[in-house]
This record gives sequence, C-alpha cells and structure tokens, in this order.
Amino acid sequence: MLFLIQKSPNLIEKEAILESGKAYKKPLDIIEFELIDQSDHQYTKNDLRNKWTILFFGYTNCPDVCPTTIFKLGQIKQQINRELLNVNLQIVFITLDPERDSTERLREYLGFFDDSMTGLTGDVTKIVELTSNLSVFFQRINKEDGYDFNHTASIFLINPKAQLKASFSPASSIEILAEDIKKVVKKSN
Amino acid sequence: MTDRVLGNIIIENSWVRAAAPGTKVMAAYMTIENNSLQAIEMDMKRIISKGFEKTEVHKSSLNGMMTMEKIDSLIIKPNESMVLEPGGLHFMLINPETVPQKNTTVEMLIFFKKENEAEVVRIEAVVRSQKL
Repeated sequence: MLFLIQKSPNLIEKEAILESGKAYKKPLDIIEFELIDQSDHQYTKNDLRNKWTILFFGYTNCPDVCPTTIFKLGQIKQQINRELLNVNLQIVFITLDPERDSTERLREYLGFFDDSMTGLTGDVTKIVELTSNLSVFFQRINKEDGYDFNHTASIFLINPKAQLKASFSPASSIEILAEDIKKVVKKSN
Repeated sequence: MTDRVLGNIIIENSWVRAAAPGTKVMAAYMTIENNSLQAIEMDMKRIISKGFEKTEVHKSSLNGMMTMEKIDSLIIKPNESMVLEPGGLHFMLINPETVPQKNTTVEMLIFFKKENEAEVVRIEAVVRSQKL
C-alpha cells in the first residue's frame, strides 16, 4: 500500500464565507510544475495564467464520484460562461493514477465526458509535489484484482495569477457551487 | 418507471452510467423497495451483470476525502427502500467484454435472501449520462 502524507495546509486567511467552501483573502502561490495534457503537450503553471481554472484530482478508474464531479463541473462551466461573458474559465482534471492514466486514456475518457476539459498526467513525483502544495491527500488501496484510491476530492479555483483562490466541497449541489464560484470570480475581477 | 416487480421486491429507476471506451469499471444505480413483511438481504456473491466479469456493491463517501469501500452485506428492512445513487451506494460493474453504448441496456440479475427462500429480480438498466 502506498501511503502518502502531505504537509499541513498553509495558514491562509479566509476571505468570505461561502456555502460550499472557502475563499482566501491571500491566495496561495502554486509551485512550478510540469505535466502532460491529453494531447501530449507539456502543461505548466504558465498555462494557468490569464484565465480562471477549476482544478480537481481523480482517476479514470473511479466509476462513481469522479464522473459525478465531471458532470457537475461541466454544468457549472456552461452556466458561468453564459452569465459571466468576460470570464475565461477552464477545467483541469489531474490524475492521481499516472500508472494507468496515460495521455491516450485521458483523451479517451475526457473525449467521452467533455473534451473541452484538460486532463493532465505525468511523472508521479511531479504529481505528488503538486498535491503536497495543494494539501491534497491520496492513498492507494490495493485490492484482489487492482487498486483504487482514497483521495481529497476538493474542487480548487485558481485565479488568473495562477494562485489558489478558493476551494469547494464536491458534495455541494451544482447551483450552490456555481453561485459560490461566481461570487469569488466577480469579487476578484 | 418500474423495471421489475417480483413478489414484494420492486426495483425502479435503474441506470448504468455511460462510460468511455476502454473503461474497466462502471456504476449502476437504482431504488430497491422491499414491500414485504420480512427483511431481505442481497446475496452479494450471486449478482450478475450480463457482459461483465463480476459485480460488487460499493459505497462512496465524501467527507472531505473521497473514499470507496466494498459492501459485504446489504439488508433492507420490511417496507423500506434503499436508494443506490451517485456519490453513495452503487453497483460496481467490473471488466466489461465491451463497454455498452448509451441507450442500450445491461441485464442484471439481483438475488435476495429471505428467511427460508431466495428471490431473483431481473432488470434491464438503461445506459445513459447523469441527469440534472
């Protein structure tokens, strides 16, 4: 069993009370990283700049929660793009399972659910550096015929300076998440 | 929509989440009503989903962490229902021969044990995307 413990969350000041999560008055800088997207292009911190990004971690062999989150985020993106015309919002899915989630698999997976989403894979050590930075915990659970992951399922909102601006619970409804994300984006723009 | 009524066990609103080609595990959801005066227990070892190597029952939980555990026993009390839905209890359909396409159905046989008898409910769960 692979057991990874990340450092404690940075102490960051809360900005506003949101129903589905928390926004940070002082956004957290994200470390430099280098991963690969589903089109086999390099993807770095620079690709987070000049746009808002909803980012989450998961794995394509997760049959229940990850597709549910993808479904919710797809709906939220449509709503935000419709209502906030000047906001350029992208959705990024980072796999915790680069062993099975190749770029080809991500292309197949996201192509089915929503090909406008970006899927990232890469070297596991680079993924762990990023999960540590965002205080994402994940644990591989070995089974008789494969493995699953327990993992932090938070949805992160990254601002156009490539900083963590807010995080949300994926258990919240589409309506509440969309309202909270819009609240944070409007306040920051 | 009622999929199947057998004896006093009613299974409704069954569906399988449509998945990408190459997917190894899929999820099925439904509501199971026990309208009898006896508790029923699902026979976990005998669940069959046609076209899949095996079927298990799992439970996802989202309390900050996303966790998924295999469920070994599932009992529905008399006159109660059990809802299998996204983010909670679900059937896990493992290793499809080929990933079933949207708008097709997956035949499932779900076995239940009662005091001195067994019942099997056959359903055809439609393959579709999640709805709002």
